[in-house]
Amino acid sequence: MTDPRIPELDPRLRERLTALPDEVPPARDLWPAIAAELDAQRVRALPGDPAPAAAHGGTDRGARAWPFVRRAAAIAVLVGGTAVVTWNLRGRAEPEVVVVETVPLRAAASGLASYEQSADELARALEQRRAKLDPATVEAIERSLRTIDSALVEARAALDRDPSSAQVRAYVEAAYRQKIDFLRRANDVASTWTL
Amino acid sequence: MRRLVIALLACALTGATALATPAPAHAQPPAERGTRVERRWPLAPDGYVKVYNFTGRVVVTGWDRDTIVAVARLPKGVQMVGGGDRSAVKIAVDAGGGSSEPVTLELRVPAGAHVWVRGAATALVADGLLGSVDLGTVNGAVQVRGTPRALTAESMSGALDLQVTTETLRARTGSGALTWRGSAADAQLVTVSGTLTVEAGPLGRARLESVTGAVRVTSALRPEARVQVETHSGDITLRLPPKSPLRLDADAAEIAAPGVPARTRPADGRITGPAQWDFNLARGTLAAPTITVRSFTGRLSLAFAP
Repeated sequence: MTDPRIPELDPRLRERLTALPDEVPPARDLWPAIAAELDAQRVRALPGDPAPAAAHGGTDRGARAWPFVRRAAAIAVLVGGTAVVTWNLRGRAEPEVVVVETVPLRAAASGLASYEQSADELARALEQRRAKLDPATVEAIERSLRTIDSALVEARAALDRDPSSAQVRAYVEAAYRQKIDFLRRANDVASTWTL
Repeated sequence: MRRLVIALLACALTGATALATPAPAHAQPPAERGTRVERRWPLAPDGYVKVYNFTGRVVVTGWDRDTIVAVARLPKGVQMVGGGDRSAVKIAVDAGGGSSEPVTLELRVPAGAHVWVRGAATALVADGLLGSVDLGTVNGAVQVRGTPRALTAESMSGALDLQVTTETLRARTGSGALTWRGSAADAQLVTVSGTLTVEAGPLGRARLESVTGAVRVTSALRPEARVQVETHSGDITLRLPPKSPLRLDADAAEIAAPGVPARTRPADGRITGPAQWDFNLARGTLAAPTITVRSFTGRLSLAFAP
Protein backbone atom coordinates (compact mmCIF):
# COMPACT_ATOMS: atom_id res chain seq x y z
CA MET A 1 0.00 0.00 0.00
CA THR A 2 2.09 2.88 -1.29
CA ASP A 3 1.03 6.47 -1.24
CA PRO A 4 2.18 8.09 -4.50
CA ARG A 5 2.15 11.49 -2.82
CA ILE A 6 5.11 10.66 -0.62
CA PRO A 7 8.33 9.51 -2.26
CA GLU A 8 9.76 6.17 -1.18
CA LEU A 9 12.78 6.68 1.03
CA ASP A 10 14.99 4.38 2.97
CA PRO A 11 13.49 4.41 6.49
CA ARG A 12 16.86 5.27 8.05
CA LEU A 13 17.33 8.15 5.62
CA ARG A 14 13.78 9.31 6.33
CA GLU A 15 14.42 9.27 10.06
CA ARG A 16 17.67 11.19 9.68
CA LEU A 17 16.04 13.76 7.40
CA THR A 18 13.22 14.21 9.85
CA ALA A 19 15.64 14.80 12.68
CA LEU A 20 17.53 17.52 10.81
CA PRO A 21 16.98 21.03 12.17
CA ASP A 22 15.16 23.49 9.92
CA GLU A 23 17.64 26.22 10.60
CA VAL A 24 21.38 26.01 11.13
CA PRO A 25 22.89 28.92 13.05
CA PRO A 26 26.08 30.42 11.58
CA ALA A 27 29.38 29.18 13.01
CA ARG A 28 30.13 32.61 14.39
CA ASP A 29 27.99 35.57 15.34
CA LEU A 30 27.99 37.84 12.27
CA TRP A 31 26.04 40.70 13.78
CA PRO A 32 28.88 42.57 15.57
CA ALA A 33 30.79 43.01 12.30
CA ILE A 34 27.64 44.08 10.44
CA ALA A 35 26.75 46.54 13.19
CA ALA A 36 30.26 47.99 13.16
CA GLU A 37 30.10 48.46 9.38
CA LEU A 38 26.68 50.15 9.63
CA ASP A 39 27.93 52.45 12.37
CA ALA A 40 31.00 53.33 10.34
CA GLN A 41 28.78 54.27 7.37
CA ARG A 42 26.52 56.32 9.60
CA VAL A 43 29.37 58.71 10.52
CA ARG A 44 31.23 58.59 7.21
CA ALA A 45 32.49 62.08 6.30
CA LEU A 46 30.97 63.92 3.36
CA PRO A 47 33.53 65.58 1.07
CA GLY A 48 34.58 68.79 2.74
CA ASP A 49 32.98 67.82 6.04
CA PRO A 50 34.90 68.02 9.29
CA ALA A 51 36.54 64.82 10.49
CA PRO A 52 34.11 62.10 11.57
CA ALA A 53 35.63 62.05 15.02
CA ALA A 54 34.67 65.68 15.51
CA ALA A 55 31.22 65.14 14.06
CA HIS A 56 30.63 62.06 16.16
CA GLY A 57 32.15 62.71 19.50
CA GLY A 58 34.27 65.85 19.30
CA THR A 59 33.88 68.88 21.57
CA ASP A 60 33.95 71.55 18.84
CA ARG A 61 30.29 72.72 18.77
CA GLY A 62 30.80 74.69 15.54
CA ALA A 63 32.25 71.69 13.77
CA ARG A 64 29.37 69.52 15.01
CA ALA A 65 26.77 72.06 13.89
CA TRP A 66 28.28 72.56 10.41
CA PRO A 67 26.78 69.43 8.74
CA PHE A 68 23.35 70.33 10.07
CA VAL A 69 23.63 73.84 8.64
CA ARG A 70 24.55 72.32 5.29
CA ARG A 71 21.65 69.90 5.43
CA ALA A 72 19.25 72.65 6.40
CA ALA A 73 20.46 74.70 3.43
CA ALA A 74 20.04 71.70 1.11
CA ILE A 75 16.51 71.11 2.37
CA ALA A 76 15.67 74.78 1.89
CA VAL A 77 16.91 74.65 -1.72
CA LEU A 78 14.96 71.45 -2.36
CA VAL A 79 11.70 72.78 -0.88
CA GLY A 80 12.09 76.09 -2.68
CA GLY A 81 12.80 74.37 -5.99
CA THR A 82 9.81 72.08 -5.61
CA ALA A 83 7.57 75.05 -4.82
CA VAL A 84 8.74 76.88 -7.94
CA VAL A 85 8.14 73.83 -10.17
CA THR A 86 4.71 73.24 -8.62
CA TRP A 87 3.77 76.89 -9.10
CA ASN A 88 4.79 76.69 -12.77
CA LEU A 89 2.83 73.48 -13.33
CA ARG A 90 -0.29 74.96 -11.75
CA GLY A 91 -0.06 77.93 -14.02
CA ARG A 92 -0.09 75.82 -17.18
CA ALA A 93 -3.21 74.88 -19.17
CA GLU A 94 -5.06 71.73 -20.32
CA PRO A 95 -2.44 69.51 -22.04
CA GLU A 96 -0.86 68.64 -18.66
CA VAL A 97 -4.28 67.62 -17.32
CA VAL A 98 -4.65 65.15 -20.18
CA VAL A 99 -1.29 63.61 -19.30
CA VAL A 100 -2.34 63.27 -15.68
CA GLU A 101 -5.47 61.39 -16.76
CA THR A 102 -3.78 58.98 -19.14
CA VAL A 103 -0.89 57.94 -16.90
CA PRO A 104 -3.02 56.07 -14.39
CA LEU A 105 -4.95 54.35 -17.19
CA ARG A 106 -1.74 53.01 -18.72
CA ALA A 107 -0.47 51.94 -15.33
CA ALA A 108 -3.70 50.14 -14.57
CA ALA A 109 -3.70 48.33 -17.89
CA SER A 110 -0.17 47.05 -17.39
CA GLY A 111 -1.18 46.21 -13.81
CA LEU A 112 -3.89 43.86 -15.06
CA ALA A 113 -1.45 42.19 -17.42
CA SER A 114 0.99 41.57 -14.59
CA TYR A 115 -1.80 40.14 -12.42
CA GLU A 116 -2.72 37.81 -15.25
CA GLN A 117 0.89 36.76 -15.75
CA SER A 118 1.39 36.05 -12.04
CA ALA A 119 -1.80 34.01 -11.90
CA ASP A 120 -0.76 32.00 -14.97
CA GLU A 121 2.69 31.28 -13.54
CA LEU A 122 1.23 30.11 -10.24
CA ALA A 123 -1.36 27.98 -12.04
CA ARG A 124 1.39 26.32 -14.09
CA ALA A 125 3.43 25.63 -10.94
CA LEU A 126 0.38 24.07 -9.33
CA GLU A 127 -0.33 21.98 -12.42
CA GLN A 128 3.15 20.48 -12.17
CA ARG A 129 2.46 19.38 -8.60
CA ARG A 130 -1.09 18.29 -9.21
CA ALA A 131 -0.32 14.64 -9.93
CA LYS A 132 1.23 14.29 -6.48
CA LEU A 133 -1.78 15.71 -4.65
CA ASP A 134 -4.57 13.52 -3.42
CA PRO A 135 -7.93 13.81 -5.20
CA ALA A 136 -9.71 15.45 -2.25
CA THR A 137 -7.11 18.23 -2.17
CA VAL A 138 -7.32 18.73 -5.93
CA GLU A 139 -11.11 18.91 -5.70
CA ALA A 140 -10.95 21.46 -2.85
CA ILE A 141 -8.55 23.64 -4.81
CA GLU A 142 -10.45 23.41 -8.08
CA ARG A 143 -13.80 24.18 -6.46
CA SER A 144 -12.50 27.46 -5.06
CA LEU A 145 -10.65 28.33 -8.25
CA ARG A 146 -13.87 27.87 -10.23
CA THR A 147 -15.61 30.30 -7.87
CA ILE A 148 -12.86 32.89 -8.24
CA ASP A 149 -12.66 32.45 -12.01
CA SER A 150 -16.37 33.01 -12.51
CA ALA A 151 -16.13 36.19 -10.40
CA LEU A 152 -13.21 37.26 -12.56
CA VAL A 153 -15.16 36.61 -15.77
CA GLU A 154 -18.06 38.75 -14.48
CA ALA A 155 -15.80 41.59 -13.44
CA ARG A 156 -13.85 41.52 -16.71
CA ALA A 157 -17.08 41.58 -18.70
CA ALA A 158 -18.13 44.68 -16.76
CA LEU A 159 -14.77 46.27 -17.51
CA ASP A 160 -15.21 45.50 -21.21
CA ARG A 161 -18.54 47.34 -21.10
CA ASP A 162 -17.12 50.27 -19.17
CA PRO A 163 -13.35 50.37 -19.68
CA SER A 164 -12.91 53.84 -18.23
CA SER A 165 -14.40 52.96 -14.82
CA ALA A 166 -11.71 52.95 -12.15
CA GLN A 167 -14.12 51.26 -9.77
CA VAL A 168 -14.78 48.32 -12.11
CA ARG A 169 -11.06 47.99 -12.68
CA ALA A 170 -10.60 47.86 -8.93
CA TYR A 171 -13.06 44.94 -8.79
CA VAL A 172 -11.16 43.11 -11.52
CA GLU A 173 -7.90 43.68 -9.63
CA ALA A 174 -9.51 42.44 -6.43
CA ALA A 175 -10.58 39.22 -8.17
CA TYR A 176 -7.06 38.74 -9.53
CA ARG A 177 -5.56 39.36 -6.09
CA GLN A 178 -7.85 36.72 -4.62
CA LYS A 179 -6.92 34.28 -7.36
CA ILE A 180 -3.19 34.87 -6.87
CA ASP A 181 -3.51 34.63 -3.11
CA PHE A 182 -5.41 31.36 -3.39
CA LEU A 183 -2.98 29.90 -5.93
CA ARG A 184 -0.04 30.81 -3.67
CA ARG A 185 -1.70 29.00 -0.78
CA ALA A 186 -2.46 26.00 -2.99
CA ASN A 187 1.18 25.89 -4.08
CA ASP A 188 2.29 26.11 -0.45
CA VAL A 189 0.05 23.18 0.39
CA ALA A 190 1.28 21.23 -2.59
CA SER A 191 4.94 21.81 -1.75
CA THR A 192 4.38 20.91 1.90
CA TRP A 193 2.95 17.52 1.05
CA THR A 194 4.96 16.58 -2.03
CA LEU A 195 8.51 17.17 -0.82
CA MET B 1 -40.34 -11.05 31.33
CA ARG B 2 -40.95 -7.74 33.06
CA ARG B 3 -37.19 -7.18 33.35
CA LEU B 4 -36.76 -7.95 29.66
CA VAL B 5 -39.41 -5.38 28.70
CA ILE B 6 -37.77 -2.75 30.92
CA ALA B 7 -34.36 -3.50 29.42
CA LEU B 8 -35.75 -3.25 25.87
CA LEU B 9 -37.45 0.07 26.69
CA ALA B 10 -34.23 1.42 28.19
CA CYS B 11 -32.27 0.41 25.08
CA ALA B 12 -34.85 2.03 22.80
CA LEU B 13 -34.82 5.23 24.86
CA THR B 14 -31.04 5.40 24.87
CA GLY B 15 -30.90 4.82 21.12
CA ALA B 16 -33.53 7.44 20.41
CA THR B 17 -31.71 9.99 22.59
CA ALA B 18 -28.44 9.30 20.84
CA LEU B 19 -30.03 9.72 17.42
CA ALA B 20 -31.82 12.91 18.43
CA THR B 21 -28.70 14.59 19.85
CA PRO B 22 -26.50 16.13 17.16
CA ALA B 23 -22.78 15.54 17.59
CA PRO B 24 -20.93 18.72 18.57
CA ALA B 25 -18.44 20.09 16.08
CA HIS B 26 -15.54 19.28 18.34
CA ALA B 27 -16.71 15.73 19.07
CA GLN B 28 -13.97 13.18 19.44
CA PRO B 29 -13.60 10.87 16.48
CA PRO B 30 -14.44 7.21 17.00
CA ALA B 31 -11.90 5.36 19.10
CA GLU B 32 -8.85 4.58 17.01
CA ARG B 33 -7.24 1.21 16.87
CA GLY B 34 -3.56 0.69 17.33
CA THR B 35 -0.85 0.98 19.86
CA ARG B 36 -0.80 3.87 22.28
CA VAL B 37 2.50 5.72 22.05
CA GLU B 38 3.66 8.53 24.33
CA ARG B 39 6.85 10.53 23.84
CA ARG B 40 8.35 13.49 25.66
CA TRP B 41 10.83 16.18 24.74
CA PRO B 42 12.15 19.09 26.83
CA LEU B 43 11.39 22.51 25.33
CA ALA B 44 12.16 26.04 26.46
CA PRO B 45 9.07 28.06 27.48
CA ASP B 46 9.38 30.10 24.27
CA GLY B 47 10.70 27.29 22.06
CA TYR B 48 9.47 26.26 18.62
CA VAL B 49 7.34 23.23 17.83
CA LYS B 50 6.73 21.96 14.32
CA VAL B 51 4.13 19.26 13.79
CA TYR B 52 2.99 17.23 10.78
CA ASN B 53 0.09 14.81 10.60
CA PHE B 54 -1.23 13.88 7.17
CA THR B 55 -4.61 12.58 8.19
CA GLY B 56 -6.64 12.60 11.38
CA ARG B 57 -6.47 15.22 14.06
CA VAL B 58 -3.92 17.29 15.94
CA VAL B 59 -4.83 18.74 19.31
CA VAL B 60 -2.32 21.14 20.85
CA THR B 61 -2.84 22.39 24.39
CA GLY B 62 -0.63 24.83 26.25
CA TRP B 63 0.52 24.06 29.77
CA ASP B 64 2.90 25.55 32.31
CA ARG B 65 5.71 22.99 31.98
CA ASP B 66 8.81 23.08 29.81
CA THR B 67 8.08 19.71 28.30
CA ILE B 68 6.25 18.48 25.24
CA VAL B 69 4.16 15.39 25.72
CA ALA B 70 2.87 13.76 22.55
CA VAL B 71 0.34 10.96 22.65
CA ALA B 72 -1.11 9.03 19.74
CA ARG B 73 -2.68 5.68 19.02
CA LEU B 74 -0.80 4.43 15.99
CA PRO B 75 -2.01 1.86 13.46
CA LYS B 76 0.40 -0.80 12.29
CA GLY B 77 3.18 0.60 10.11
CA VAL B 78 2.75 4.13 11.39
CA GLN B 79 5.20 5.73 13.76
CA MET B 80 5.61 8.97 15.64
CA VAL B 81 8.97 10.53 14.80
CA GLY B 82 10.43 13.56 16.43
CA GLY B 83 13.53 15.25 17.67
CA GLY B 84 15.30 18.50 18.25
CA ASP B 85 16.71 20.34 21.20
CA ARG B 86 15.45 22.64 23.96
CA SER B 87 14.90 25.46 21.48
CA ALA B 88 13.02 23.57 18.76
CA VAL B 89 11.34 20.23 18.33
CA LYS B 90 9.83 18.65 15.23
CA ILE B 91 7.21 15.92 15.50
CA ALA B 92 5.51 13.96 12.73
CA VAL B 93 3.14 11.10 12.30
CA ASP B 94 4.93 9.07 9.67
CA ALA B 95 3.13 6.41 7.65
CA GLY B 96 6.44 5.35 6.12
CA GLY B 97 5.39 6.14 2.58
CA GLY B 98 2.09 4.30 2.82
CA SER B 99 -1.37 5.70 3.33
CA SER B 100 -2.58 5.69 6.87
CA GLU B 101 -5.75 5.46 8.85
CA PRO B 102 -6.52 8.76 10.56
CA VAL B 103 -4.39 9.35 13.63
CA THR B 104 -5.19 11.68 16.50
CA LEU B 105 -2.04 13.29 17.82
CA GLU B 106 -2.47 15.02 21.16
CA LEU B 107 0.25 17.38 22.31
CA ARG B 108 0.87 19.35 25.45
CA VAL B 109 3.41 22.09 24.88
CA PRO B 110 4.78 24.99 26.94
CA ALA B 111 2.07 27.66 26.74
CA GLY B 112 4.49 30.30 25.44
CA ALA B 113 5.87 28.09 22.68
CA HIS B 114 5.66 29.03 19.00
CA VAL B 115 3.56 26.34 17.39
CA TRP B 116 3.42 25.43 13.69
CA VAL B 117 1.18 22.59 12.51
CA ARG B 118 0.47 21.25 9.04
CA GLY B 119 -2.12 18.67 8.07
CA ALA B 120 -3.92 17.52 4.95
CA ALA B 121 -7.11 15.62 5.77
CA THR B 122 -6.53 16.76 9.31
CA ALA B 123 -8.60 18.68 11.83
CA LEU B 124 -6.52 21.04 13.94
CA VAL B 125 -7.37 22.18 17.46
CA ALA B 126 -5.36 24.55 19.64
CA ASP B 127 -6.14 25.78 23.11
CA GLY B 128 -4.36 27.74 25.81
CA LEU B 129 -1.39 28.85 23.71
CA LEU B 130 0.28 32.22 24.31
CA GLY B 131 3.05 32.28 21.69
CA SER B 132 2.63 32.61 17.94
CA VAL B 133 0.48 29.90 16.40
CA ASP B 134 0.42 28.89 12.73
CA LEU B 135 -2.03 26.16 11.71
CA GLY B 136 -2.55 24.96 8.15
CA THR B 137 -4.60 22.12 6.72
CA VAL B 138 -6.30 21.22 3.46
CA ASN B 139 -9.63 19.58 4.11
CA GLY B 140 -9.89 19.72 7.86
CA ALA B 141 -11.48 22.20 10.22
CA VAL B 142 -9.44 24.48 12.46
CA GLN B 143 -10.54 25.40 15.96
CA VAL B 144 -8.59 27.76 18.19
CA ARG B 145 -9.34 29.08 21.67
CA GLY B 146 -7.27 31.43 23.78
CA THR B 147 -4.96 34.41 23.57
CA PRO B 148 -2.03 33.58 21.30
CA ARG B 149 0.36 36.42 20.57
CA ALA B 150 -0.31 36.00 16.85
CA LEU B 151 -2.44 33.51 14.97
CA THR B 152 -2.36 32.28 11.40
CA ALA B 153 -5.03 29.71 10.56
CA GLU B 154 -5.63 28.31 7.09
CA SER B 155 -7.67 25.58 5.48
CA MET B 156 -8.41 25.09 1.82
CA SER B 157 -11.94 23.86 2.41
CA GLY B 158 -12.46 23.35 6.12
CA ALA B 159 -14.27 25.62 8.55
CA LEU B 160 -12.33 27.91 10.86
CA ASP B 161 -13.74 28.53 14.32
CA LEU B 162 -11.62 31.03 16.20
CA GLN B 163 -12.33 32.33 19.68
CA VAL B 164 -9.17 34.31 20.11
CA THR B 165 -7.94 37.63 21.31
CA THR B 166 -4.59 38.41 19.76
CA GLU B 167 -2.42 41.15 18.34
CA THR B 168 -2.30 39.84 14.79
CA LEU B 169 -4.78 37.47 13.19
CA ARG B 170 -4.52 35.98 9.72
CA ALA B 171 -7.17 33.45 8.75
CA ARG B 172 -8.06 32.04 5.36
CA THR B 173 -10.31 29.33 4.04
CA GLY B 174 -11.80 28.44 0.68
CA SER B 175 -15.27 26.97 0.90
CA GLY B 176 -15.38 26.60 4.67
CA ALA B 177 -17.10 29.02 7.01
CA LEU B 178 -14.90 31.35 9.01
CA THR B 179 -16.11 32.48 12.42
CA TRP B 180 -14.13 34.74 14.72
CA ARG B 181 -15.09 35.80 18.21
CA GLY B 182 -12.57 37.92 20.04
CA SER B 183 -10.44 40.95 19.43
CA ALA B 184 -7.30 41.91 17.52
CA ALA B 185 -5.34 45.03 16.71
CA ASP B 186 -4.80 43.78 13.17
CA ALA B 187 -6.90 41.12 11.47
CA GLN B 188 -7.13 39.75 7.94
CA LEU B 189 -9.84 37.20 7.28
CA VAL B 190 -10.41 35.72 3.84
CA THR B 191 -12.79 33.15 2.38
CA VAL B 192 -13.63 32.22 -1.18
CA SER B 193 -17.19 31.00 -0.80
CA GLY B 194 -17.50 30.41 2.92
CA THR B 195 -19.53 32.71 5.13
CA LEU B 196 -17.35 35.05 7.16
CA THR B 197 -18.75 35.90 10.59
CA VAL B 198 -17.06 38.34 12.92
CA GLU B 199 -18.46 38.71 16.38
CA ALA B 200 -15.50 40.47 17.75
CA GLY B 201 -14.53 43.68 19.18
CA PRO B 202 -13.57 46.24 19.35
CA LEU B 203 -12.09 46.03 15.87
CA GLY B 204 -8.95 47.99 15.06
CA ARG B 205 -7.37 47.42 11.67
CA ALA B 206 -9.22 44.68 9.85
CA ARG B 207 -9.60 43.39 6.33
CA LEU B 208 -12.50 41.03 5.65
CA GLU B 209 -12.68 39.53 2.23
CA SER B 210 -14.74 36.97 0.35
CA VAL B 211 -15.59 36.21 -3.24
CA THR B 212 -19.11 34.81 -2.98
CA GLY B 213 -19.45 34.28 0.76
CA ALA B 214 -21.55 36.56 2.94
CA VAL B 215 -19.73 38.78 5.44
CA ARG B 216 -21.45 39.44 8.77
CA VAL B 217 -19.89 41.75 11.31
CA THR B 218 -21.27 42.39 14.78
CA SER B 219 -18.71 44.46 16.58
CA ALA B 220 -17.71 47.70 18.23
CA LEU B 221 -15.00 49.80 16.62
CA ARG B 222 -11.88 51.29 18.16
CA PRO B 223 -11.62 55.08 17.75
CA GLU B 224 -8.87 54.62 15.19
CA ALA B 225 -10.55 51.67 13.45
CA ARG B 226 -9.94 51.09 9.75
CA VAL B 227 -12.06 48.19 8.53
CA GLN B 228 -12.17 47.12 4.91
CA VAL B 229 -14.84 44.70 3.70
CA GLU B 230 -14.66 43.41 0.17
CA THR B 231 -16.74 40.82 -1.66
CA HIS B 232 -17.55 40.01 -5.23
CA SER B 233 -21.13 38.88 -4.76
CA GLY B 234 -21.42 38.09 -1.07
CA ASP B 235 -23.87 40.21 0.90
CA ILE B 236 -22.43 42.31 3.73
CA THR B 237 -24.16 42.92 7.04
CA LEU B 238 -22.69 45.36 9.53
CA ARG B 239 -24.20 45.59 12.97
CA LEU B 240 -22.61 48.16 15.29
CA PRO B 241 -23.55 49.26 18.81
CA PRO B 242 -26.10 52.10 18.99
CA LYS B 243 -24.71 55.58 18.41
CA SER B 244 -21.33 54.28 17.26
CA PRO B 245 -19.45 57.01 15.45
CA LEU B 246 -18.74 55.81 11.92
CA ARG B 247 -17.55 57.03 8.58
CA LEU B 248 -18.82 54.65 5.90
CA ASP B 249 -17.27 54.63 2.46
CA ALA B 250 -19.24 52.17 0.38
CA ASP B 251 -19.92 50.84 -3.06
CA ALA B 252 -22.34 47.92 -3.39
CA ALA B 253 -25.22 46.83 -5.58
CA GLU B 254 -27.64 47.93 -2.88
CA ILE B 255 -27.01 49.92 0.27
CA ALA B 256 -29.42 50.02 3.19
CA ALA B 257 -28.40 52.19 6.13
CA PRO B 258 -30.35 54.17 8.72
CA GLY B 259 -31.14 57.67 7.56
CA VAL B 260 -29.79 57.01 4.08
CA PRO B 261 -32.23 56.87 1.15
CA ALA B 262 -32.22 53.37 -0.35
CA ARG B 263 -29.46 53.25 -2.88
CA THR B 264 -29.48 50.76 -5.73
CA ARG B 265 -27.30 50.50 -8.79
CA PRO B 266 -28.89 51.83 -11.98
CA ALA B 267 -30.92 49.35 -14.02
CA ASP B 268 -28.13 49.03 -16.57
CA GLY B 269 -25.83 47.78 -13.79
CA ARG B 270 -23.34 50.60 -14.27
CA ILE B 271 -21.04 51.05 -11.31
CA THR B 272 -20.95 54.67 -10.39
CA GLY B 273 -18.42 54.43 -7.59
CA PRO B 274 -18.42 54.77 -3.83
CA ALA B 275 -20.18 57.32 -1.66
CA GLN B 276 -19.39 58.40 1.88
CA TRP B 277 -21.63 58.94 4.89
CA ASP B 278 -20.94 59.98 8.47
CA PHE B 279 -22.98 58.47 11.29
CA ASN B 280 -23.06 59.83 14.83
CA LEU B 281 -20.17 62.18 14.11
CA ALA B 282 -19.95 65.87 14.92
CA ARG B 283 -19.97 68.01 11.78
CA GLY B 284 -16.47 68.67 10.55
CA THR B 285 -14.91 65.67 12.29
CA LEU B 286 -11.78 64.70 10.43
CA ALA B 287 -10.59 61.44 12.02
CA ALA B 288 -13.24 58.83 12.64
CA PRO B 289 -13.60 55.06 12.79
CA THR B 290 -13.96 54.11 9.15
CA ILE B 291 -15.45 51.14 7.35
CA THR B 292 -14.80 50.82 3.65
CA VAL B 293 -17.09 48.46 1.76
CA ARG B 294 -16.68 47.28 -1.80
CA SER B 295 -18.98 44.72 -3.34
CA PHE B 296 -19.39 44.11 -7.04
CA THR B 297 -22.89 42.60 -6.90
CA GLY B 298 -23.47 42.07 -3.18
CA ARG B 299 -25.77 44.12 -0.95
CA LEU B 300 -24.74 46.10 2.09
CA SER B 301 -26.91 46.43 5.17
CA LEU B 302 -25.84 48.61 8.09
CA ALA B 303 -27.59 48.76 11.44
CA PHE B 304 -26.88 50.32 14.83
CA ALA B 305 -28.42 47.98 17.34
CA PRO B 306 -27.68 46.48 20.76
